[in-house]
Amino acid sequence: MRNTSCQRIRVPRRLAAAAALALLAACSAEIGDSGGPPGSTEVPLECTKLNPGRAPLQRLTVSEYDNTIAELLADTSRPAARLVDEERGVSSSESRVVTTLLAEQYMSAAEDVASRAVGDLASLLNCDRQASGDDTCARQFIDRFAPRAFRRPLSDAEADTLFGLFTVVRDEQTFEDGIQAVVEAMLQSPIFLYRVETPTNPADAIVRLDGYQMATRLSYLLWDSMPDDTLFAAVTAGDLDTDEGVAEHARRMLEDPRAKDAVGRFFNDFLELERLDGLTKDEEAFPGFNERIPDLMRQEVEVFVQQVIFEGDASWRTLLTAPWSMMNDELANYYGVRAPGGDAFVRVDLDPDFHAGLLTQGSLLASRARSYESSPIHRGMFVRGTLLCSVVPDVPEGLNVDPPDPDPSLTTRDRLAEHRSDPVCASCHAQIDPLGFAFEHFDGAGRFRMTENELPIDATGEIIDSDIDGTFDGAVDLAQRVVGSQEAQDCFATRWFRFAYGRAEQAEDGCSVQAIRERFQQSDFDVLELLVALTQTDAFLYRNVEQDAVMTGGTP
Amino acid sequence: MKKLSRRAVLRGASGAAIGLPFLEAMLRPGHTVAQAGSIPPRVVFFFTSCGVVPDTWWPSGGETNFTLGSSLQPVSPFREKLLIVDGIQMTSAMERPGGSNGHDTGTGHCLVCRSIVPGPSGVGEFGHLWDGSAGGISIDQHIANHLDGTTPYRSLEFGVDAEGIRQAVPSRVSYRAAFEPVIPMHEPGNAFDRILAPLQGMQDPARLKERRRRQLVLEAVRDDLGRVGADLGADDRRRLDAHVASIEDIATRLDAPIEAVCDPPGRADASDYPTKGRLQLDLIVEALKCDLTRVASIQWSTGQSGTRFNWLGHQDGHHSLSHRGISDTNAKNQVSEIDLWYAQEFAHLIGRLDAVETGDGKSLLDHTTVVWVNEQQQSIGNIHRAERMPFVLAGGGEHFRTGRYLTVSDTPHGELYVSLMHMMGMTENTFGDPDFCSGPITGLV
Repeated sequence: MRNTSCQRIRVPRRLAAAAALALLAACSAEIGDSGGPPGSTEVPLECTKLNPGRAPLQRLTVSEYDNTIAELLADTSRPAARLVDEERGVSSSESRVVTTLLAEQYMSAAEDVASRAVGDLASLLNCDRQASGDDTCARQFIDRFAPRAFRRPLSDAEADTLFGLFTVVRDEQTFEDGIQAVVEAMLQSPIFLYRVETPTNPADAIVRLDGYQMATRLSYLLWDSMPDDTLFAAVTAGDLDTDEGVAEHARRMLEDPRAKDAVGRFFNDFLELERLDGLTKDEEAFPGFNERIPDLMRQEVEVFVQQVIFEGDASWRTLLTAPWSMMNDELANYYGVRAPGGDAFVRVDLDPDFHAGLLTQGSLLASRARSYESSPIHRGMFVRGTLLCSVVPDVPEGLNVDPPDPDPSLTTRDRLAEHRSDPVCASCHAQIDPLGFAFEHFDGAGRFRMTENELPIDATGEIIDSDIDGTFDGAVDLAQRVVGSQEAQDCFATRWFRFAYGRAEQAEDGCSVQAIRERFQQSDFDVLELLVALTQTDAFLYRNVEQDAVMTGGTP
Repeated sequence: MKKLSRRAVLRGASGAAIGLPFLEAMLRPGHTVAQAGSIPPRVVFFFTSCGVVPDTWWPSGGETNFTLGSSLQPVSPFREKLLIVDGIQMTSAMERPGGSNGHDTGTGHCLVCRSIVPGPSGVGEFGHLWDGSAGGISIDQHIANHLDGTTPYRSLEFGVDAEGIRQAVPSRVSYRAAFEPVIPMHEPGNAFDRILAPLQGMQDPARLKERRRRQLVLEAVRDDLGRVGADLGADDRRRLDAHVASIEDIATRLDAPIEAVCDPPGRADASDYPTKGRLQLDLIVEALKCDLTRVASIQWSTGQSGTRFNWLGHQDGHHSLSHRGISDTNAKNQVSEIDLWYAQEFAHLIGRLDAVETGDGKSLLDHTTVVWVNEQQQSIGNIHRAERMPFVLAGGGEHFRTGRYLTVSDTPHGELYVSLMHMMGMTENTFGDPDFCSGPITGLV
């Protein structure tokens, strides 16, 4: 006979002592707000002084690298796919160091890209070598190409390095090799690989970014790529020297198709869509869930997000409550809803009593489930952790966390009853499981159901320890509560802060975080306005030079 | 930090590759060898996660008349070359974990022996330090530092589905320093292209030309690194310095071209776990045989591995199975099957090493110590155990007294690593947190 769920098991004495302490500590205190709660303190913030927080040096991500190469050289080979580079999660820039292996891969990628580029030397150079001479053509190429690769004008020393390299390689090898070497060097330069933001005036503690740095932040935030010619022109014209100018360009850039991918990346991260990779289900429990389904579910959520944000009202509330989704025939047939007719993903209206946007899509519900059943715990954790930004502590050492055996005479909900009856379990699970019960009308493979094991579904629950405490019945009811929660609204804005700036918020960022949250609220939760607001904070527009010099956590 | 040099620009293209048999290759000029005729030691770390099932894993019997447990049967042909040590614990993880999640601390401590450290995001769900790090350098990199410059690669890291997970700390075992994880090579084909393909056709004009251009290009890159670094704050500077060190590493290799000639297998790639694993193990053997490095590691999956052993008929992932209760016989049997499967892979590696003759009447395995290190002893229920860690040493018979099942008493794992350091010619008597490490384990040699 197996242990029932959440039952204590025999542990060595040493561990038992630690476990007992942990049990007491578990959820008896309230669940903490994550990341230290700037903006949520009782004391009103004073936002009269500039306070940009600390901005670590950012290196291009895999997608930023690929998009930049495509923009720079019209090379769409996406060479960064082969890089060994840690990308998962946000605000991980601290650990993103260039190891020898990665440096070698940057070298290989640069060589591949450069050799393709010189394959069409005439159009790369755009210079008459007969008339102008090799040296002049090389100079002109460096003067024209390098400022785009480096996203700013070159210093004389930098230009000399590149021209010197050209000269040596040309002398030893060929003209073409000289140009290729210059491209290789630029693509391995730290000025290309990192978004270097050294202060223009190091005498000041807090400096506004210069125009080129601002353009670079804007383009990587909103496009996941380098600035375009319009943005470079705006720098020269001084358009980015005012906050209004920055906002104006942000709005222009959000109209561009490149913004869709950048926003999509946020939602991939937010929804942890990597959970769909290789997702399988028990064939007996969920017939019909084949290997294509996870990818169809991924397309559903991606197209849905694009539709709401770029074709619809761009509202966060719509994302969490829409009684429709985007499907093709194969996916609609899988879900058992009316097929829209075709392979393309188009809008399908769903039963508004049961469907609530992202929250009831297969990508969320099938990936937060076990192979043979739903998992109210994982689904509840999504609401508690991802939507409300609450941090639930680890299960105390010494507790058995086995899922209870499948039992054909009970529902999943009933089999988790011990989580509520045992006070040790209940201290945490009362905050989690009931939120997951709201989704019990959807089975472990993301399909709608009215019964489980021929027993009627009970999707009622109560949310506690939040700003929306109370009872609900089903996902739609819970979704309505969540979109009315200031905790959830603030949480979404904070998650964008972390994603957009590539770092966790710090105490110094209190006013920046507050500004984003307020603007989000004022815009009636318009995601595009939230993105514009992200370009208007101290954290975005300024740098704290003094803080950069302070060594922070973890360095031995 | 090495001084940025102009040597590549000043010296022209040169460098001759000479074919040498195995023994001579290791004694070639430029290689540090203690005395002529002696073959230097090597070390390989073999990492798996989620612990083992003790009942089926541990041997029974005495120090020399032991009987292997069923999970370790695959290594029985190498019984006389094994040193199974019972009673090592990750004391640092038990006494000074630095975090509350069992897989953060297990993976973070297993090669580092220090408190893990939080990153800017602090503590997140389930006690994970999302963007945290191990607390310092790992033993493989510490040894590699000691050998720096001896072989073309200071160390080589291989991974099998080790691309990393959302939680930073269980993602990595090898570190140059805190917040400087060493990411392994994930694809055998790419690994082959990197380390073995360059051994062929070194004197082709096209290859010489490519090498020369690389040297010159890296000189320009160094110039930019120097200028950018000068303007950065301390934290950013630390990260850029790591980048500079990596460029130096490449430049050094370009300046002293690899001269070993061995007989590497053809390039191969695979996407499934078992085949990929075999290819990576074979690359380790080739790298050691060709003396490309003397420190290697293979990271199977990650800490809290989600690997589904579907080729063994398993539905649930390793981590999930490992946490079932003691009385769940079905889950326990499946974890034993996983232990047995990894033992087969361990046996494959040591068997391949043992098949390489080194010309002194010994095999490459006798000059190589392979250390099987786990993230946990066992995960059951919601316990992550760090006492009685399932360490197995294989090979290294030139230094360690093998053929034994040695019992020690609550010995910190840092002390095992000091023993390895001594085997590798180092003299330090501590590793990791010095509070939990006071010298080598005396009974090993």
